[in-house]
Amino acid sequence: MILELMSEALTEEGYQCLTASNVDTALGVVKTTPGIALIITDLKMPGKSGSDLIKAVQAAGGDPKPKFIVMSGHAGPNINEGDIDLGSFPFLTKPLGIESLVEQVRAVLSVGE
Amino acid sequence: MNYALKYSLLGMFFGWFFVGAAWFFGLHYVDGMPTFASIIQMHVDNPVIGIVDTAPVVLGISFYFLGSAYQSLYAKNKESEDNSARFNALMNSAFDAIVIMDQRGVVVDISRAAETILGYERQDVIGKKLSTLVFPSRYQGDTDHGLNIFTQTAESPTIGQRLEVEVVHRDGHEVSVEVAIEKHRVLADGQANSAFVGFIHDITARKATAAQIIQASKLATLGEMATSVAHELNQPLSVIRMAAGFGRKKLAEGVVDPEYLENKLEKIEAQTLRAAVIIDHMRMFGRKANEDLEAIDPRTIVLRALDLVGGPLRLAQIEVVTEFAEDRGLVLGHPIQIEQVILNLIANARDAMDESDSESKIITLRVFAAEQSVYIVAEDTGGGIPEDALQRVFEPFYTTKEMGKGTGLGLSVSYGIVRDMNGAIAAENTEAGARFTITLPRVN
Repeated sequence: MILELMSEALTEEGYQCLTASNVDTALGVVKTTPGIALIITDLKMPGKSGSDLIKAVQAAGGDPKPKFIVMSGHAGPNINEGDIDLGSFPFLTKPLGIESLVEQVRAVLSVGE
Repeated sequence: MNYALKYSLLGMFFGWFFVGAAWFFGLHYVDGMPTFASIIQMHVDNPVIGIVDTAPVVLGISFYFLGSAYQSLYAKNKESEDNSARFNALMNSAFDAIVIMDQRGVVVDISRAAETILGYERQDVIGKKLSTLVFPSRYQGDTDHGLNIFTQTAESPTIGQRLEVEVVHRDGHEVSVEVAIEKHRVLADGQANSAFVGFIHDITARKATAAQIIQASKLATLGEMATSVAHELNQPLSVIRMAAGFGRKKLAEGVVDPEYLENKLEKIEAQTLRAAVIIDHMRMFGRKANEDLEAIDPRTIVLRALDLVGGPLRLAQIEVVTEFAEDRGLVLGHPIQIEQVILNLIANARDAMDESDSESKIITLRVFAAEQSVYIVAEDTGGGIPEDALQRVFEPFYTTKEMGKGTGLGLSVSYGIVRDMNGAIAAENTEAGARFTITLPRVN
């Protein structure tokens, strides 16, 4: 349901959204869809985690490289999982508000390539 | 006090007195110079003198025996008095209440501590039947029955056991106590009778502490769960926040689409209900359980526990398998406490599998029943419990976790909870890990 609502918020702003409910599906989408500019991902998920997704996507290369925004229910972004410094990515705290979501997305995508 | 010697001296003194008197009255008459031979002769001639002169010796000896006899009598008496005093001192200095009864259960004596615990003075209680006086009516049938069995068979299941019961204080309130009754034979009035000695120990403080420990342990478990619950609650909250945001945005833009708004509001409602269930559950859990014994389906309890921790378990990539037998019976117990025990087992299983890094992490929860009992089994694939630890897992403060991790209280509290409900909990190892079996009495 959260995916639905997030999608709705961003579509309203003119962005095209694709959703996936787990890492594997997401990777599939990334592989088959060219030109993905931004991936917003939850960190803690059953099965593979957000950092797994980030690692996989970065390893797959591709051009242009997608940017990331990470979300979590925890207070701060200092969850060091594996070898990625998750603090380097823009961070959204849960529960999500649509305004902050939209703001963050705009900010990230407007940074010049 | 050597009476014997003194008496003997006294005797000899009397003896010499007689001799002196005889001398004075001139009975010791010897012709001319007294020689040994003439003295002997004199005694033979006059038997009276003979008797008188042997008086010191005879009296000395007989008084000696008199003295001895007196002395041993005195000693015995003193010993008896000392024993009696010692006994009373002992009885009245004991912290526990001591009640001495005859074979009918009628009180013969009570200690000072008994007066305090029961609120009666000695004289109020002596001569009365203890059970009628201080046992609540609900126990009296049993005590009378027990007494009858004892009178007939000189055996009783309650003798030599510690029993937790309540007694009624003089002012009417009940006191939780532990009672131990022993029998002994007394020689009273020349007859050998059985009598009972009851030791009553006030356990009000102990019960309060036990309740506190359970509460503390529950709060500790609660703390552990708080993080996972916070995570769980974030889901519905995210939906609520976004749905509400949408509604507000639309209105701000001047777009009033009833269907759209209705859709968003429905979402919000549904999510608040979901959150409420989680919160309610937690609140129930934290409350001090003065709950009554309930007959409850064990499956319900297991599912409720999984409700709370299922999410985090999935996150930790632990698979949960449940097997509920068709015929599970009902369990007579305290639902929240049983739930706490199950949560404790699940938490331990999770920790074990965390540490062991095993390939497959599976927790299996099984519920089935036999004629008299219901079984709740929790199995994990965490590698099992080391042999030496297996004996001690239920010991308070015993933990195999490193310092700072875990209190070592969980299993001991679980043990206490299950035992309080007349059940049992046991630990054993399986091929892949550990298995804990909770056995509880079954009701229908």
